[in-house]
Amino acid sequence: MNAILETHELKKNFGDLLAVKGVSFAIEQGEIFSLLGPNGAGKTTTISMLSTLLAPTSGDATIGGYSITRNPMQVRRLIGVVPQEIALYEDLNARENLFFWGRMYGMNERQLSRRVDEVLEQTGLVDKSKAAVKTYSGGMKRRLNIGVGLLHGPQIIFMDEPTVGIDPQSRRNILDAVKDLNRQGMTVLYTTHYMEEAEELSNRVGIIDHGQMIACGTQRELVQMVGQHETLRLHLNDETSGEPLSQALHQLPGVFQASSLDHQVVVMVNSAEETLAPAITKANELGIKIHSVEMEEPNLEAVFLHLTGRALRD
Amino acid sequence: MKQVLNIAWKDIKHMLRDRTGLVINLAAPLLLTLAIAFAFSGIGSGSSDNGLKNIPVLVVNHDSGQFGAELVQFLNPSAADIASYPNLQQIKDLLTVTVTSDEAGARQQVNDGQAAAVIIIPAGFSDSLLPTGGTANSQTHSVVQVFGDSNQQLKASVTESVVQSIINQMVAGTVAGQVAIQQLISSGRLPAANAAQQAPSLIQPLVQNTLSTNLVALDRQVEGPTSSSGGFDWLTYMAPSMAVLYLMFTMSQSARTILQEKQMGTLPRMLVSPVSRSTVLGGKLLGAYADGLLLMAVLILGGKFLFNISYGAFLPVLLFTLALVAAATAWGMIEAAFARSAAQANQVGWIINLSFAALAGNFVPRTSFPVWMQQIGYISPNAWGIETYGKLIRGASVADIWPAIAILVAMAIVLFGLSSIIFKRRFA
Repeated sequence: MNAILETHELKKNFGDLLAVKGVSFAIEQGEIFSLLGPNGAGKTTTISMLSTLLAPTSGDATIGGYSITRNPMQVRRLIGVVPQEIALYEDLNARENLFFWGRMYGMNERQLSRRVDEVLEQTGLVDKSKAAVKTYSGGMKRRLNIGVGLLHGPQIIFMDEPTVGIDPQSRRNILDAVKDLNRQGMTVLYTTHYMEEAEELSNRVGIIDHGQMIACGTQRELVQMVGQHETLRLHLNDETSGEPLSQALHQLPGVFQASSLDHQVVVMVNSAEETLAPAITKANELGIKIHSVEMEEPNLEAVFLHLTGRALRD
Repeated sequence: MKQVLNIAWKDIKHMLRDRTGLVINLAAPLLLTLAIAFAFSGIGSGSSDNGLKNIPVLVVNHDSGQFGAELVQFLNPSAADIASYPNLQQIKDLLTVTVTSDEAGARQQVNDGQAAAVIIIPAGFSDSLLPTGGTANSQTHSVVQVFGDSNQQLKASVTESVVQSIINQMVAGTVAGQVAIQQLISSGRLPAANAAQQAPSLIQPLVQNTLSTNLVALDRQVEGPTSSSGGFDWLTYMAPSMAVLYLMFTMSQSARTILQEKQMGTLPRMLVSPVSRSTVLGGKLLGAYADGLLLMAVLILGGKFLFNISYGAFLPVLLFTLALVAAATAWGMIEAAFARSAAQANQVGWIINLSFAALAGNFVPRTSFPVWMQQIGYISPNAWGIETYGKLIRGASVADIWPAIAILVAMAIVLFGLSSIIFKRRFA
């Protein structure tokens, strides 16, 4: 398979802030590649450089053989971008939005008219196509936002956290739509801070934190980095900080890493079953009430915890 | 070009669909025109005194010379004076002058609101205008004071303007006289020893001639549009004034949309489509410009059909309006270019537009301002708009207004250029 996208030491500084510190990865044609990392890791900045919205401070990337720094116009014709925020004109209806954005890509009117009908069908918005976007639900807006990115038939689509802030049903619809697109041959670069999404969708995952790619590979390759360690997740009551418990659990045998995040403690252990009872005992000694417990097989969250010492979600 | 039109048409659709905004931007200037004109001119009150007419003024003349007497004569012309110099009729209509020797009493009358101003001609006024020793030397004249009622500022300012204009012409006349005397001395036709004695009789006719000739210019400067009864026509002044004021605010609003789109995310989406930054900016400019033209077309037609105000011949009005809207759009773009957010651009726009409105005379004729303030007002499209639409209403042609068109076009080019550079750097 050929790489449709390759980045070479992409860097971006904003003054003294090193937002992206030399990221290199490649995406094969026809695959779904997820960029997984917490908020502020540099995912959106990386996508902004790849979509030619931001110029890299140094480094380069090629998409379809074209350099993002030397051939930005050609790159823009090849890519579709679905931004994190809903970038639509709320006073216009779906059809008007699609026609506007299609014309921005230089599509001729006949081709555009046909594609608009197709995209409305794909996004399930035919019946609402003449209503102003401001009357749409959040899920409908997200679907139209994706539709705009697909309108001109790009070779690769960048989706920047497309499920943020929407209901579970709409999220389900979007994930199914991404898988459908990929089945039809679309290459997808998908950024998220939700491990489950990366696990469900991706052929390969790049884990990014503090502007650096800390791991990249298939899910199997990444999980093997943490060996057979399981994850024990202890959910605490809303008022309770998990920091004291996290520090106490470090002392237990079989615990490799423990970190607290909001009102939960995430522990990487040899065996979740064997560590559960001592962990609850420790919590009782500290007067900390545990609300619920989850035991997980090795997953990407465990990989992130193993590599960074911190939990993925915030 | 297609994408420029695409972006512009999208913005025009936005504007047309914002029904509330449309009503406010179109109805408000027309309503404000009516309200202010009513407040200032007493429409429907039955009053025949339409503001700037029969301004009660007192004159105190301490000068014993001929120029003091002439100043009084020009401020309060008799029927014979008017017969000799018909232009003096307009000063007669503008000011109702009472000559008095009681300066303290006159000041009191102004304080009591019984007179708009008292003009105090100091002793030595005539001597200060005449050369001494037969040589033409420039002297500053003794200062004529105008003491005005602070509650009748407009009338006091108009009075001051009239007095200043007359004195300026007097000084011009005396300077001409001094030059003439010097030439007579140089040519040997007038002995230098006799110059001082003969100066008044030589200078005085020149002063009178200068005054009577140049008072025509004075009238136009002071009066502006006049109604059929001869008074200042507030409606004809306010209609274009409010149109220009609202044009400036609307252009600020239209230009701000570039920052709103940045916040909404649609601008970044435009910037990752295969169009140049110039195309995006060009589309936004064209959309704003079209908004402005539409606004002015409606307000000009509104003035015609609602207030019976004819803005003049089609071609000069069209050419001037195209230039004016370009300059207004450019100012809107500059405000947006320097602001970091749409909210900040809104604040900047308010400050600039209110300042321009004050300097340019959107609410009060500029002719009542000090000269320096009138000059500064020309930095704004407002001043050019009010002045030139006034001329067009009074029948000006393209030849009469082309300098204003040229200046506004130059203003637009410079400001567009600057805002383009700034935007391209910000979105590079």
